[in-house]
Amino acid sequence: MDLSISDIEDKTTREVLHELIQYVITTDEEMAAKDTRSGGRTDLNIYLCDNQGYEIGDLETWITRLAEGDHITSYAESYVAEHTFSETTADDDISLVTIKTPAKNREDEFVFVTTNGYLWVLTTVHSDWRKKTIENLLEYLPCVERLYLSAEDLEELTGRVQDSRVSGFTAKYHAPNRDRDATLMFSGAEEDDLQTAEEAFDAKPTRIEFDQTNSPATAIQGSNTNEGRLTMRSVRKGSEAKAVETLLGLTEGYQELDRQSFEVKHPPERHELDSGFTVDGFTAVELTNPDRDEATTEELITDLEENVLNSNQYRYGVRDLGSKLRVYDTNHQETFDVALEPPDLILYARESTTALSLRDFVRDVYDNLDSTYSLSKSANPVAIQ
Amino acid sequence: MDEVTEGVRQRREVNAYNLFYSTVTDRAQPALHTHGVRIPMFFPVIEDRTADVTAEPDFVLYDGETCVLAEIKSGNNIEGRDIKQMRKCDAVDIETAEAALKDAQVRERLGYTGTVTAVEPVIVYQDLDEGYIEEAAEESTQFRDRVEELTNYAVLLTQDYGGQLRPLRGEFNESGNLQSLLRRGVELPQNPPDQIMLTEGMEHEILAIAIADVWGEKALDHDDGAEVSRTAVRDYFSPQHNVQPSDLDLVFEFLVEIGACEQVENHTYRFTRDRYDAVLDVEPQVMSESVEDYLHGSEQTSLTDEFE
Repeated sequence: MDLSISDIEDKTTREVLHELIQYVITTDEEMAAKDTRSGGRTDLNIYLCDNQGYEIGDLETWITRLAEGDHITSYAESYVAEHTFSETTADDDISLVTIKTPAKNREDEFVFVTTNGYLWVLTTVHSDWRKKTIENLLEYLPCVERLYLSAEDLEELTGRVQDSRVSGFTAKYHAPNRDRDATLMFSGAEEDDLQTAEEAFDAKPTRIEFDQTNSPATAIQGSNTNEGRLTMRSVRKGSEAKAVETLLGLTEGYQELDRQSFEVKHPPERHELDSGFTVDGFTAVELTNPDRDEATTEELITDLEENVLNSNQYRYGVRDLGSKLRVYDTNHQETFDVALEPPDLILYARESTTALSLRDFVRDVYDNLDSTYSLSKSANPVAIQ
Repeated sequence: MDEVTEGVRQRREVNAYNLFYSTVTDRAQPALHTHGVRIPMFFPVIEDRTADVTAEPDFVLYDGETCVLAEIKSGNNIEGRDIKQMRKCDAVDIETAEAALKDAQVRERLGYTGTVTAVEPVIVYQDLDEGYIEEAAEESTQFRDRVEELTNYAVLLTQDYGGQLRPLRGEFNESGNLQSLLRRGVELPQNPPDQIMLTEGMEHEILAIAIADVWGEKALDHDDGAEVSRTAVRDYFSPQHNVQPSDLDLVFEFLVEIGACEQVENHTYRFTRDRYDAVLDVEPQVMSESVEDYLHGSEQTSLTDEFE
């Protein structure tokens, strides 16, 4: 990506997207010739992050804090040591960030956009380098966190893309089961394949590719992952406007579905009254109906300890005679409770809980414990409207 | 069978409250909240000044019309004092209930007018069902008489984890929306959230957990932790709980001893993030051993036990 600040200055988000779409523009001939997705092409990627305090122009402050913080991990420390960072502000909510890797003589560019409590990072950097540069940065920045969708939500989101069909997917089955400890990765080329994988193996999609037509030929190829990343692989010349609309629609839909799953809209709050006090508000994220045998409470706790709570991120204590865990997420400095209703897990928000720790924990459960849980949330104000 | 410690008994009491509380949350079926039912008061003291009656139910449910005065029991043992409690609740008339709702600011907080059309006392036991009542009534006339007398004043209900809140004996005075919801029963979650961490008695064990919950967690929000004084804790739990300073001193001695907080000056304590591991340990610790035994040892009592 060879972008300069003048390309994004004084532009709206829509115009910036339009500018970046240029990098994936394909001619009619190229589009027609293309029946496979292989090859080292340039894709436009958008990382969608929950933003709890990043402001455009803040990068240097955050990097300094990362480099000098007391609680920094050795990974973050060597990451900061191996790269240099600069941010050029285009306006209040858009900037151009350059991450340099001196050892490899590389310079990679990213457009940061803050919008309504979210941070978007746009880039055309190749996947090999995205992990080393931007994905690490987003992981280490404490104030931002990539959005996350359950498999069901990912399918719903992709289903909302107009004039589109599923053209490929990656799905995963992962369930630790004393009888059947297996992880299977699936990939396929058609929507039917995905259904088959889900029905036969309970494999849940983590990435879905779609083709979008613009009367009548395929014009846009894109994909969604469940870890807050949207990709535009190619856009036929003339379909740029439609591609921008698709991206804006997906972004909005992604954010909405993430909020639906993880936002703590009704935290339990104590209200003091003349005659006593009340606890108002209730939020529970429910992980239910996994493809596993009924586990006992003790087995479920052991599974969580071995697969999810084993990192430095978590400290926890057993509560309620072994039927709940109180978990302290040291990254986000929040606590929440995990109620065990074997084989289901219920996450109850506490006063300090936000989407950050709930989302992180759920992602760990899917990745490391069991990808076959269904996710739902219930939340209501209890006394106060 | 495992010995039930004082801490475990208190936990069960708190759990009974939390289970009842969960009738209004979204994990109940139907969630009473969606039918307009709110809990404007916990542990209220409802006084009828003219009749000189004071009712002290655990919860008040209110849907804009009916006031349910609910007493929650963690066991299935119907005691004489339960009858006395419900007789007092039954003596609360509509005007008194309206006055109590006014004190609880329901108009400001819930937007309800505060009008009451019926007052319905209920008493909820855990581990109770039709079979048990029948059996116990057959075996003991005292039990039979108590059920009889109790249901003169209140509807007798049962609740269970992953089961139902539902009436077993007795009739509601009026037929309102809330009454018919309760009559049909509410499906409850298997493991409801800890919203309430208080018992009526505020014994050492539950007090230690409540303090660790409130201030231990508050400390996570601040780099330099959270300080709390004995006076501030007493004030926090008042007026419905009058926590004795001497009890608090003992509980704080325990919290300092296990490392959950440090004493910064006389009767003032500080919780910090790096002590949170110990805060997480408070509950399992008090479940296994009483605060008193932890501090002063149980040797003496166990010696006596052996000679008995």
